[in-house]
Amino acid sequence: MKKILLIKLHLYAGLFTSFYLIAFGLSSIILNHKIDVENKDISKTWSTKVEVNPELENVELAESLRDKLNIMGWVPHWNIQRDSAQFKCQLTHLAKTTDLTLDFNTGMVQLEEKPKGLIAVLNGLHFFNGNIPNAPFVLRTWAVYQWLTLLTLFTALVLGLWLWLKYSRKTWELYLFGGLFIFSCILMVLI
Amino acid sequence: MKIKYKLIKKIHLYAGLSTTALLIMFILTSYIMIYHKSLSHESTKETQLFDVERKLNSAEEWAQWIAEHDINGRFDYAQIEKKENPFQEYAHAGGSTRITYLSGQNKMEVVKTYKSTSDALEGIHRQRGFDGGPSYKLYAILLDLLGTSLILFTITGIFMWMKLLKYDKWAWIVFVGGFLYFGFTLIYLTYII
Repeated sequence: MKKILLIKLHLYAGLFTSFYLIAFGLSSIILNHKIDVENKDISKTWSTKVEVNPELENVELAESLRDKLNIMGWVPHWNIQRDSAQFKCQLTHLAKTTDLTLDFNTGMVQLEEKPKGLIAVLNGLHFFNGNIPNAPFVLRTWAVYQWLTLLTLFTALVLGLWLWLKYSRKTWELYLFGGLFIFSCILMVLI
Repeated sequence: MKIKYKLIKKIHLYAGLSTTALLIMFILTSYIMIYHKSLSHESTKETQLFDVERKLNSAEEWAQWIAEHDINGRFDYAQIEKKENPFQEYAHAGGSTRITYLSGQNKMEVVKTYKSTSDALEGIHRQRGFDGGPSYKLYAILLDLLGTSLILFTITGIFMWMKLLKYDKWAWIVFVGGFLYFGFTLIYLTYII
């Protein structure tokens, strides 16, 4: 294959993954240093009436509330509290946490929304696979984007290595980066 | 100040080359995570018993005993103040070890759990932080290098594109497509949903 074609393919693959790579690079540093980037302030409080079966078990009741209100998120079962008058639970996903309090007597549910913020979302995309309960279709397409991005990234990497090995490698680079490659592999086995 | 193209090309190349092994590992293990449900997650356990003269009373005594008995991994969790069966747990990418003082028997029980191959590979993906022994600290430095390199070689790659193939129609289509999809998802999650 001609060199210019390989460079173009490397370019296209790299450009396709560019935003994903910046987010991945940033979140890798955030995770490695265990930096808390989540905003925990309540931005919005609202309430509504909802019909649910109070006889349901805790997790089922929380999921029923989530589905009736059509809110996206998982239910952390360790954050559920119940007494004879109230039921409290939380819905969470990479961008927002919502605290719900259901009054059994009135059927009113109060919601407190805590958006996590832009940096937390960028960080959260590191773990996101498009699969959150009640997620809209547009977010579910992330699974396809992620799958394609990983494949494209691998292609860009192989093409870049090929271009370097064939056209511009120097002996000292080969020894230095070959050594670093082997060292990294040994380190991954040791941990 | 004029930025030299050759310098940018070198930064792009060396940022990529220095993190190739980690990047290949992350791509491979990301696919393993995507197909998590289809893979085996059976772990195996191995139990050993060691005689001790008395209960270990302090964190230092526990640390010394652990150092003398070939326990792999970094500290994960402990309940050494418990009256009955106090324990410590250590974890590494391939598994974990729980060390328990068996009250009344004057024995230390060491239970080593070994993950399946796919879970161990996922374990490498999940390793992070500077706590633990020298290999963990070195790996954390490599992770920082990877994070910085990913940002650097993306930015330098875009710069090189602007210098070399600025008018390539397909490059713009791919770039704008990626930007719109990524940007929309980010804005949608942060401000709309």
